Formats: sequence, structure tokens, C-alpha cells
Amino acid sequence: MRWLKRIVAGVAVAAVVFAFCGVRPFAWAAKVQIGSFAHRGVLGFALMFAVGLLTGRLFCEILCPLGILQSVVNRLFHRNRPIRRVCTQLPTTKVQFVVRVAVLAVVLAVPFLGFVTVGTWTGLLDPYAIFGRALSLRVPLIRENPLLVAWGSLGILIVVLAAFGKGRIWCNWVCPYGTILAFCGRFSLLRNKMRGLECGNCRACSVWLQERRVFGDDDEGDRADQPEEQGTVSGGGVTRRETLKGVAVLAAAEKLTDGGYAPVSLPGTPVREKAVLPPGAGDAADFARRCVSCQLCVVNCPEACLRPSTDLRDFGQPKLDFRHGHCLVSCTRCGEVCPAGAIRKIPKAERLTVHMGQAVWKADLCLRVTKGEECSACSRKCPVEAIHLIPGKGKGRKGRPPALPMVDANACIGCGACEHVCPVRPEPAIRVEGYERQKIVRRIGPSDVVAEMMRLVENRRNDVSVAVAKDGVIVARETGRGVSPLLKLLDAGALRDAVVVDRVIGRAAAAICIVGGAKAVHASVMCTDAEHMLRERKITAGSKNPVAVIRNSTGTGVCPLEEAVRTLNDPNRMVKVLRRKLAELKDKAAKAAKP
Amino acid sequence: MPTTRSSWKINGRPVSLLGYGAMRLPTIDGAHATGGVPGASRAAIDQKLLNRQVKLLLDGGVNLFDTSPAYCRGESERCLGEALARSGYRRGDYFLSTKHSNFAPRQQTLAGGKALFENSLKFLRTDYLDLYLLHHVAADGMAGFTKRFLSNGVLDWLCAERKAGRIRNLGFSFHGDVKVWDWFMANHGKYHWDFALIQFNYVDWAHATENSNGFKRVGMVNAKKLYEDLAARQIPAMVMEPLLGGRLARYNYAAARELQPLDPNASLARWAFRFAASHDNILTVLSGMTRTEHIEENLRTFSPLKRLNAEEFAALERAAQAISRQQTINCNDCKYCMPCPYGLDIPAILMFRNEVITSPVLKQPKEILRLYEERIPEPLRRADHCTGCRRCVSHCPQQLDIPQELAKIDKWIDEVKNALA
Repeated sequence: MRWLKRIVAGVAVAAVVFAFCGVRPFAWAAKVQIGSFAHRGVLGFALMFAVGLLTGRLFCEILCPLGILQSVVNRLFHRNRPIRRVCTQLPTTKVQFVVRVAVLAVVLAVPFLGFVTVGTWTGLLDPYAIFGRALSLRVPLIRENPLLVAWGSLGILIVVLAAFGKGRIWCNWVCPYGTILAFCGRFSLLRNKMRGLECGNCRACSVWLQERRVFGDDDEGDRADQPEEQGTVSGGGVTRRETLKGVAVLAAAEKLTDGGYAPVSLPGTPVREKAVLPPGAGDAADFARRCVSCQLCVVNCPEACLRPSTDLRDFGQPKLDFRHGHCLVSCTRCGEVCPAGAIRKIPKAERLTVHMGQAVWKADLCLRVTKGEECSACSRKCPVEAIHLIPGKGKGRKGRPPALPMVDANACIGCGACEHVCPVRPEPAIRVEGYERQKIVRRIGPSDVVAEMMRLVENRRNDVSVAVAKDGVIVARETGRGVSPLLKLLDAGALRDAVVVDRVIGRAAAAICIVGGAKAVHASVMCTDAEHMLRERKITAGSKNPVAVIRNSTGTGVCPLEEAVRTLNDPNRMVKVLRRKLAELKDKAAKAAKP
Repeated sequence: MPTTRSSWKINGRPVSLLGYGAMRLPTIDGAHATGGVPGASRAAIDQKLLNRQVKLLLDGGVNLFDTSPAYCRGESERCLGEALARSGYRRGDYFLSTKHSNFAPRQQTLAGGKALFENSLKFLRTDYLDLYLLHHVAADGMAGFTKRFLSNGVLDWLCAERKAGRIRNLGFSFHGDVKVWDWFMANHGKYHWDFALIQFNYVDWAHATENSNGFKRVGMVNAKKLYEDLAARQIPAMVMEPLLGGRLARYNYAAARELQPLDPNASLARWAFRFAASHDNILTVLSGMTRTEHIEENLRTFSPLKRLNAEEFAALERAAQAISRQQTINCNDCKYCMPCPYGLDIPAILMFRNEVITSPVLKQPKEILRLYEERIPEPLRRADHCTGCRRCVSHCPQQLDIPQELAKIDKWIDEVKNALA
């Protein structure tokens, strides 16, 4: 039994350490921690009591990484002496009782005072969060800030120092969960059956500790200590002073010689009216209550754009910061790992439906305004194409009217790509303002198969001009110019209930799709009239580049097929006219070729 | 065995068929000054090594040295001048060639042009130049050329200098816009070009207009046309990019399959050099040899040069077809696009993309991302920070639409990241 316990304890600590090293399959280790369900409201609390009533403090022995760490530390220094471990039956002194209850009362009461969020406050004393914060110091992002270093290392230092002498002092005197579990444990079902003994100072608990052999999880314990030592060495980040002097963009605008680099610098710390929360955080207030600031999401963020807040009110709770990267459009890792339910797991397919905030453009900072630069970094980078350049009045640097960016707030998901790439220093000219409650917007947009088909038709190497998918599978592709490939598909009956992706869709092509009974039509280029025509008939329609008219292949005028159906509105009739016109054009070409 | 001489002479004296281009000088960190090793070097030029290399070249019979005020962040002329001065050879033993690299607006006046020329003389420690070139004449098309050389009177002044003897031979270096080329050919009678520097290698010979990405490369001209135009006018052609910035020297399975059976011991670089040097109307083949080993190998290739036979020409053509079918970006890492005003490391990004495309082993998203981080260690210099200002486009001798390529690469990187997330 005791070996089983040791093995479970070893595995539990190792798993938590791995989880904090970004090894994804170990994220479960955080989810079995008591703090993770205690924060899920009344049900969570009930569950915690149930665990206590059922198993006493078994949790503290075999799953709590901080508790196990204390045992290991004590064991290392007192090989032959029994230590005080957690045992619900151990006699407690009055002083201990008073301290415990007082701590618990303070823990429960302080959040009501309102100067700190529930999550941050309870996270301070949550054993798992203390352990996690220490591990999170391995991330350079956190080591940048001395306040975060202190916050990450102090907790575990105090606990470990206390454990040198008499073992699990912290567990038995302070830990609020420990208090609750100990209280429940007095009535635990397993209280006597764990060892088959009543506690009459049996010292059974000390016997197994007297064994010579060291715990199987010593290594993990040591490893857990390491980050904290590193933590005292300050990270090689960019200081604020450095960032503020970095207005050096464009210093090398005049090219004299080849090679070399213009200086670059990170932007300053962003100032936002409302913080941007990780995708899946939902309501800001819920998030603040639930997140125990364990930093598991921060260390797992592949783009290093999650970083702990340094506001005293929500200290340590993760916020998005786009200085080092932007929130990837199909990444849901923070939600996957979050043990406290603060960041909910979003299905990958729905990731784009979560809008975290919206980009706000600042005209007075933008290079287009201040320097007349032809900078389009934000609109180029936007993964959801929510930033458009609107031609303005007057004359710009190159005699053209200066186009200025505008954010489509409905399309913007607040991923911060624009803020990340904006070259303006120290404050980017476009920044994301978070939503108090994240928006869920169902999209009727390119699904994966549409994106794939779009790639097919847009890359000319593939020589595909139309692709058709049914039930998420590409079933047909056609080559050729104009509408003939679509007509071919129509004649083959391939358009019924299909998703069609074409290079160019004008009204003529739209009519064919309607007659063919297509379900959705996407195009690289689509004229707005065609889009309307399709939408009127409840056919999903969208394009990367909406245009007013479709031009002919030489770009000298309107496409002759579009011209032929310009005055018509009935799709069936339009298709008939199209066929006639095509035959006509063919004849003409044949005649032109003859002499 | 001395290096093979060209069939052409400069100022009545023989010139080596292999010339030295001082664009990729060695630096003290082991890379070279304008790139080549991705994540290029910003370190100082290794003058001691350069001195040794120049001595080695002169001893080996190479007697033409080409540079430009723009190369190696402006260090090339000075360093080459010093190396030649310390070589123990006299000024008359070698030919010096440099260029009129007036890319900045303030150099585009007559006074600015004169200052540029005088600086070149000063840095190269000489009072005359054997060869002087109008640099990259097609940058920004005919309009750019007019602005740089015609409307400000620079070209007329250069012709006057040629008459005065400070410039012994006047020529031009050309990449890109064919309209400018036609102007030069049409005005040969008026200005009498003594020579022309063209991009010449077995891929560009007939496949310069085919882009790797399946689109026509707008504005590129096949070397065959350029060469034949020059030959028709008896203008000797000086060769640049015989290896396409090393691309033709690097291992390439498609090319190796065609070439290796014919000559199992020859490197791919040797094949490329032999192609360039096997034509009659070639003044010299310039090569930017960063490493001493490159110099040694190339000296062996040229001492003496074995001309290609018909079978070998055919094999090279097949190799060229195979290469031009590859998806690589046609970046030669010349760094003309640099410095990017927004701090991007453009050549390193493009070379990274090529590295991934051509690598037979790099497939895993994780490996790709790690290589990206290694090649461009500073995140702020990576592709996503391109603003699309398009300043680099006119500088690119390969007519690459750099912002578009960068956008594509960034999109691809995001896809890789998303696949991993």
C-alpha cells in the first residue's frame, strides 16, 4: 500500500512538472488538483467536501505536488527521524486549530472586500498554484519582471523552508484546502481503514518514513526546485528604457549600401482600457473568480502571448500581450490545459467563433498618417481579413490618395496579429481592446474544405479553375477559362447541394450555380451583384476580393459574358443566353482562325 | 598551370577568365559580409583572411577584381583596396573594376556622382579604373535609369572621364527590365559600351523567365538574348552570378542526376563555371569567393579550363530545366534589398524558405519552426513584420515581388504553427 502511494505520488508530481514543461499529454495532472474543482462554484465545493469525507487527506499525500515536495525535502534532511505528515488523526494543538481557522476565514472573507479578485487571492494559497508558479519561472517572459519572479518564488521558498524542520508545517497550519479536508477527514470513511489501525500514537505513519530508501520521486522534487533558483537570475528581456528609445524604425529609409540591418525594437508595455483575455475565458468576472493564476496556460502558450497580469487586483492572471506574438487562429491550448475552468476548452473548429476583443486603430500614430508611409502591415497580417485600406481624399506621398486602414469590428477576433506586426514604437498604432464578455459569433465562412479548394484554385500551378465539394469532400475539379467549366459541371449535375469554389464568380457564373442548385459559392474574386444574387436565394456566398464588375481577360472592359446577362435576372434565362453567347464566341474565334 | 586567359584583352593586356567579385567578403565570424550563411553576418570583414585570399588569387593568375561602393555595407572597396596594396603586386599587374552605385537620391546629382567616383578611387588607392560600370541600370525601370544617369548628366560626364583616361573602359551591369537593355543596345553607337556585366549561367541561359512559382517572371530576360545582343555588337560580356549566389553550387539532386554521370569527380560549381566560361564572347567570369577553399577549387577549374562539349551542354540544359521546375524562390542572397527600412532580414527569410523546400528531410512542423528561429533569431526581423512598403522591390535584381513572397512565407509559417497548436 505504501509503495503504491509512493508510486502514485511520484507520478503525480512528475506529471505536473511535465505539464509545466509544455508536454501536452500531462495536462490532466493539473486537472486532478483540488483547487481546480474548488473554484468551480458550489458544485465544486461540494465535490471537495465529498472527497474529504470519502478519503480524508489522501489527496494531500498522493496528489498534491506541494505536499509531496515538502515530504521529500524533509526526508532529505532528516533521513532517520519521523516527520509530521498529514494525518487526520494526528492530535492538533489549540494554537494550530486557531491559526487554521483564522487563515480559512481570511481566505473566504477577503475577496468580499473587493480589492482583489477571488482567483488571485485564493491562488496565493492554493498549493498547486504555488507549485505551478515556481515552475513557470522557467519561462523567460515571466523572468523579465522581478515582481513576478518574487511572486513565483517566495511562496514555494517559504513552504520549503518551513518543511526543513518539522515536515508539512504549511499543510497542517495554513493550507485552506488542508483545513477543509482535515475537518472532513475526521468523519472520513477511510479514516481507519487506510492502515487498518486506529491512531493511538501508533507511529505507523512515521515507520514508513524511517525506511532508508529515498522516495521514488526525489528527482522530480529536485527538478521542481530548479526553476526557482534560476528565477533569481533576471531574464534577458528588453527593459522598458530600451523599448522607449526604440523609435528607430525607418532610420535606414535611404539606401546607400547593400546589406546591413535597420535597428528593431520591441514595443512598450501595452496600455489597454480593457485587458484581452485568452480565448474561452468568457466573462471577465467569471474568469477573475476562477483563475488561480497557476501559469499553466502561460507556459503552454506556443506564441508567448499569454502573460500574467501585474496589476495588484488581478495579479498573476493571464492576459494577452502581443509583443512577442499573436493568438493563433486555431490554437486552443490554453483552454485545453486550464485546470480551473477559467479558460474553457473550445473545439478547434469553433476557435474562430470566439471574439476576444477588437482592434482599435489610432490615426495619430499610424505611419500612413504621420509619415505618409505605404505601410500595410496590419491589413496584410490580419488572419480574418478584418482590416481594410480605404482610399482617402487628397494626395499622398506618391501622388495617390493615401488609403487608411479601417477595422471591420464584426470580423475582428482580437487575435492581436495587427498589434504584433505594427512597426510604430513605442506604442503600436493599432491595438486590441478586450471585450468584457467574449463574443461568440457563428460564422458562415470558409470551412476547412473551402479553404483547401480556395488554395487549389488560387495557385495557378494546380491548373484548377473550379472545385466542387459535397459533404466536406472535394468531388470534382475542372480546368478552363470563363464559365465553361461551370457549365460542364452543371450539365453533369455535379452542382446539386454542392459547395463551389471558383477563381472568379460574376453574375453569369452565379446564375449557373443557382440553376445547378449549389449550396454555397465561394470565389477568389466575386462581383458584389453576384454575391447579392446568391444570398437572395439563401445560398452562402463570399469572396476574398469583392469587386464591382468582372473585367475581361485583357482588362480592357467588362467581361463579354457578364455584358450578355447584364439586363437579365432570371437565372434559367441567363444560362440559356450564356450558352448562346458562348457558341457565338466560339464561332467567331473559329472564323477568325480560318483566313 | 596558370589560369586560362580570356580571348579578350583589357587595354591590350591579357585578362584571366576567372575574376574576383568582392561582394561576399569573408567576415571574422566565418560567415560573409553580405550573407550566404542564412542569418547573415553583421561582423566586421576579416581583412587578414582577405589579404591572404587576394594574394592567393593573384598568385593563381586571377587579375581582375570587381567591387562596388554598395557592397558589404560599403566596406568592400576599402578592404579590397587594402588587400591589393598589401599583396606585393603592382597596380599594373591587375585590373580594377568598380561601379557607379548611386541608389540614394542624394547621390543622383552630378556632384553626388563625382563624389562617389572620387571615393572609389580613394578607397581603391588608385588614380584610374580599368573598368567602370553603371550599376544595376534597370532598377526602377527606364524612369529610374533616366533619373540616375541621363537627366543629371552623369553619363556624359563618365564618357568625358573615359576620354580623359581615369576610366579606361565604361560598361554597365544589367538585371531586369528589358526596355532599359534595348535602350543600351540602341545607344551603343552613341556611347560605345566597352563591355557589359550580365547574369549568365546555365539556368538563366534559357529559363530566366520561368518563375519557380509557376508564374512568368515579369521583367527577366534570358541570358541567351543578352549574350547574343552583345555578341552581335562585338561587346564583350562580363559574367555575374555564374552560380546564382551559390544556388547552383549547392547540392541539388535534380541537377546532380543529370551531371554527375558525365564527370563523377566534378562539383556542381565546376559545371556552372565551365558553362559560363565555355562561350566565346566572355570577357571574364566573376565569382564572389568567400572561402579560401572556393578560391582553390575555382582556380583548379580554370587552370586550364576544359570547354564543354555538345553532350555536356545538353546535360546542363536538362539540369536547368529540372532546376527551373523546382519551387524555390530565385533569391541569390545578394542583399541589394537590404537594409530593409523595417529591419527585416529579407534574404535570410527567402533562403530559409528555399532551404525547407529543397531539404529532403525537413518536413515536421516543429523542425521547420526551429529552423526559422535559428535562421532568423530575432523575431522582429521575421516575415510577419513586412509592411508591404515595397521599397525593396526595385532593388531586387531578380525581379522578385519580395513583399508578396514574404506574405506567402508568413502565411505558410502561420499554417505550420496552427497545425502544431
